[in-house]
Amino acid sequence: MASNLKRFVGLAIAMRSNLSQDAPWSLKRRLFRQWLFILVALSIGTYLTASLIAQSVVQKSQDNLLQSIAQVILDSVVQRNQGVEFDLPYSAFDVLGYAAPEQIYYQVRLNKEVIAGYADLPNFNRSIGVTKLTQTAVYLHQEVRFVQLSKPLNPTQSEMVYVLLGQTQDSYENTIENIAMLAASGTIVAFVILAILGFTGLQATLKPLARIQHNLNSRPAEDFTPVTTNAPNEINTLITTLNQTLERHKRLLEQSRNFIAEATHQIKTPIAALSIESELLAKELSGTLRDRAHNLSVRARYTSKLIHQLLTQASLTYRLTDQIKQPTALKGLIRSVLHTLDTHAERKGVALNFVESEDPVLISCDAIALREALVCLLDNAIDFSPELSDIEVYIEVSPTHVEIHVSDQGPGFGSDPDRLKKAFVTTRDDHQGGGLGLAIAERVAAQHGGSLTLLNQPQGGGRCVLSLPV
Amino acid sequence: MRPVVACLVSLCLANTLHALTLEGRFEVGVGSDVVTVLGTNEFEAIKPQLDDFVQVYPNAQINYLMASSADIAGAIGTDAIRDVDAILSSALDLQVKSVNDGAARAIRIPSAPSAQWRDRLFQISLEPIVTLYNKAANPKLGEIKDRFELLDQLRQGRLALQRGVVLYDPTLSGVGYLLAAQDAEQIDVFWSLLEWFSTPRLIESCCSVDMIKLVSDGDVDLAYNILESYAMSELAKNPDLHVLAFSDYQLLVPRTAFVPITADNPDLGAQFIDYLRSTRAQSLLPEHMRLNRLQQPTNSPLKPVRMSPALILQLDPYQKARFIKQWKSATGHSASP
Repeated sequence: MASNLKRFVGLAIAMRSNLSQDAPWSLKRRLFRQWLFILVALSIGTYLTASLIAQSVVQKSQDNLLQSIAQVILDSVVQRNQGVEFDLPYSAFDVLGYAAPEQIYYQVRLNKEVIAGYADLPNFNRSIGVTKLTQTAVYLHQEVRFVQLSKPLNPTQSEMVYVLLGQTQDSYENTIENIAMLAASGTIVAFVILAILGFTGLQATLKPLARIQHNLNSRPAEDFTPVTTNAPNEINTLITTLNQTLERHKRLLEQSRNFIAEATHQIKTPIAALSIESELLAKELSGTLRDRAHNLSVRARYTSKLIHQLLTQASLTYRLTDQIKQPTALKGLIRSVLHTLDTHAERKGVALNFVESEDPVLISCDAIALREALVCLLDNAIDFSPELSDIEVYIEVSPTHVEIHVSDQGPGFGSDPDRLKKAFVTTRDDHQGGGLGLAIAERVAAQHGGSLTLLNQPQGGGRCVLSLPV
Repeated sequence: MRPVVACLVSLCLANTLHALTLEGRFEVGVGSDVVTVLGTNEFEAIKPQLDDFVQVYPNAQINYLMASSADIAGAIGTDAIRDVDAILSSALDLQVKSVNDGAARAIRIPSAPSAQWRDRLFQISLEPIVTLYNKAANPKLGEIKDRFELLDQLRQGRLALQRGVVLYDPTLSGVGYLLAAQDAEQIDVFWSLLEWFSTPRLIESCCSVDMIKLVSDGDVDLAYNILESYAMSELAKNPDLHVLAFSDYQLLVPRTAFVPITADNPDLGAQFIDYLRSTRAQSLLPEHMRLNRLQQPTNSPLKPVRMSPALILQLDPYQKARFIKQWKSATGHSASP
């Protein structure tokens, strides 16, 4: 039962951190990676496609240019006397030079005999009937695009004139690369714009989620009120489900608390009776029996205290959920707490000293919860104080915070004070303390937006500092 | 096997046949980094730039070889230019042909697109072409604005070139042929003009100096298409000698340079060409030869011969033979109208 209880309280406390846990992967990052991959693939694809298209277009335009100039030469060929006459048009070649700074090779041939131009140009297949031929070939260590045109000089086609015109291609290759680069960069720009739009859209979609997260993060652990936020329909279903879950958890927690409260209440009376009975019994007995009866009464008192604390915890939970705050005179509150614990302290032989300042200290808080927290702290201090020692209580006021210090001469909090703030953790092995006291005080502090700090004093003893915002 | 051997033998023969005839060999600078420059420029004309180059690059030594443009063109692709790192020539058509035939190496020198061709051939200076007349012999020539007006005046008989005209002989002078061919491309009326030049007397000459002397002495009225560089001193001496500045166009032939593909020291060769194009090197040239003359409003009559591959057509023996034929028909058979 106790371990189940422990687990449940632990769960309730841990719930807060559970809800804010980070997702294992980021949607944006995954999207970014995917888009980057698409971008790279797309730009390479565009580059290659564009170079292919540009290649064919540019090649076509070069071929056309070469062909038209070759045609001009071919058209100028006339038969005269025994041979032929023709014109090599300076201005046409000049045009070729203007179009691209390329090297030019030409040849005019009558059958197999070269009559003008470069004699050693590559020889192309001279199939009968083919009057036009384009081909890329290597000449003088460079790739040269050649166009060959031919025409018969007589109807029997025994005399053929060939005009071969070639041009290198470097600048055309630059043009192709420029076009491809332009196309690829155009794609990149378009894609980046789309990606930015996509990310902006995603951001807008995720915004309500961030609001929900913030809402859940900033609320106290026991706050199960439904999440309300202005979100698109796609996200509203999530919110509905979330709210239903919250509602279920709320009911479950309430049931458990009711059960604890009821159970502790039911157990409290018989245990108290048991305690008194065993004390009376111890007085009437002697020897080992008397010791055992005394032991029994101590255990019964501890149980009674634990039950009281559980009850406090349960009732505080309701209070804290409701957030009741009112201006409270802190000094009066502390005096009343000390008064309550006088008997306990007296029995232990411990002196409770309240070091009061002159000014009244007013603080907005849930007085009942704060009172319980202080009772827990002082009760704890008394329990751990050696006989005939002092416990000092004092208030320190800063512009932002009010700190209530409880300083004792006991053993302190050991090497890991924060561990003690967890429920059911205690430094004692005689089970004199309930182990819930510091946990309760801490919860009250947290509920008020403050904190509980446990310190080991250099001169020995422990000091609890309950810090609350003004 | 035999054809291969025969081939090798013929190759060797070809190489020895192409041995370069040098007109001079000069060394400038004492550096260890030797750059061999083959050029058509007279050594005295290019010496200031060579001296300055070795001052800018103290590690460099220039080995300057002087040869005619035809000899240089003939040596391209042979062993004769194996250790040459830069070739400078005023024969633009031959230079373009050498580059077109793959003799040049692509180098990176910052230059305007019009000042270079294929990153291989670079303008290094300008050779302005002028027409000279003798004012004492024929003062009317001073009023002529352009070639059309000249032709008109001749046709209408308002102007007569009694003493005659002197021109480069295109069969003897490479630059003469280049200029005549450019003129023929430039204006339709060139052939008519040539016919009128031949009436009553046309002298065809091989050499600028002779031509300048003829006009300066008043033996002819007009010396058409002369390299301005050769005329400078005579223009300064003779107050009767004047430049007929045509407003339609005035040809300029760029001197050009390239780094042969076989260069031993191509980097220094490229550096040398880069230097020749620099403001510093240009300032050592006579003003009329500087490249920056072309940085003028577009309506300037200055018309540099473009580094166009079309120039190789003019070198085609077939094309040249047709041109010379036409030339002869225009000059020889022209009857007086």
